Amino acid sequence: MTDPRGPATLAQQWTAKLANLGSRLSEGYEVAFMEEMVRTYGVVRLARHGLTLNAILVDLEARYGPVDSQLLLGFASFWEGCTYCSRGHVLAANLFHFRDTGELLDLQAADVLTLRRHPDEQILEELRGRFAGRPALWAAVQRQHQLLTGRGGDPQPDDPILEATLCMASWLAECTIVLVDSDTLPPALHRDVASDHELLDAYRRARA
Amino acid sequence: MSTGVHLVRRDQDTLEIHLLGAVAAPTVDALLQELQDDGGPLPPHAILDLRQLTDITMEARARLVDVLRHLMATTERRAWLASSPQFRGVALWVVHVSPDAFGHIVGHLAQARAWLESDHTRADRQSQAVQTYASHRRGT
Repeated sequence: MTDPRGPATLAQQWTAKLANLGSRLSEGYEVAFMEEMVRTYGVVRLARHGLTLNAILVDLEARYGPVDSQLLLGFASFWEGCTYCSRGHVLAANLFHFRDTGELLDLQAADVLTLRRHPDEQILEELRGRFAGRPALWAAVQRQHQLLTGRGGDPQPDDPILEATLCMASWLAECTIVLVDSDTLPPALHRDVASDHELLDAYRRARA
Repeated sequence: MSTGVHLVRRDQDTLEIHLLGAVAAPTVDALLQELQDDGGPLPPHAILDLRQLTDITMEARARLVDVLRHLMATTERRAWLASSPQFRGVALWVVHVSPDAFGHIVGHLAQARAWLESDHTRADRQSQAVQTYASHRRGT
């Protein structure tokens, strides 16, 4: 379905190209929604919030490690309805896990597209089984969902960082949502695995 | 096959729109027609409830932009209720491309009421949340 707003201006398109060049150099990947980011937020707000978003990534990874932090970012995007970042973070989680253990997670990027059709409660029930061997992750995913739906109750120690994943996802989903019908496959959304093509090939062979 | 229906209810403060079942474009067109035919002043707030939606075509989703633009011209603030990632995505797409700064997607009625009674935009809310974490990190 075409976007009723019409195309971005030439200035926005060129700014997005430059921003993506910067992303490729610093993160190892470009994102398909950069033009929408520039169009929605402008360069100044993009740069200012970008610094905080990077801080959230650093803190989350320090707390949960690379695999679970990427899964939590994936779920934050997933709950918002974003299929681009959710798949990109789940892919990154899988690549970290495969690189470090040689094993496959019980959740792959494509699962996002089928899970998302179900009500939240049914999805959580499915995830409970899939994450049975990762209790810390399962607790964080449940808590993240409680915070999303305003059913958090008493504050818990990890609430600030989990709230931060949700605010980051909300801020990004505002722009990634224009890709919801797109066939564009996201890259693995982490600089440490994004451009490791050998790892990606090996992972895909293992999944096949 | 479309099995979708729409329901419209209103009280003094809130217009409630429910989309139910598998909705195709004619259902949304009928909803827009009903809103346009109404003619009288609408309440200041609108709630668009997608929690009983089972499917929606892309054409119907695009027509929701027309519904939302009508509501943007006739109401002050709007909250969308959705209980699955798919339909949160549908609502966010409509709100984003319309674009409705005073629309927001939530999970239940209490959240909807809180949003409708607030006075900030969705972008304000997102910026505040980002800045809240920046402050938390600095320990301020």
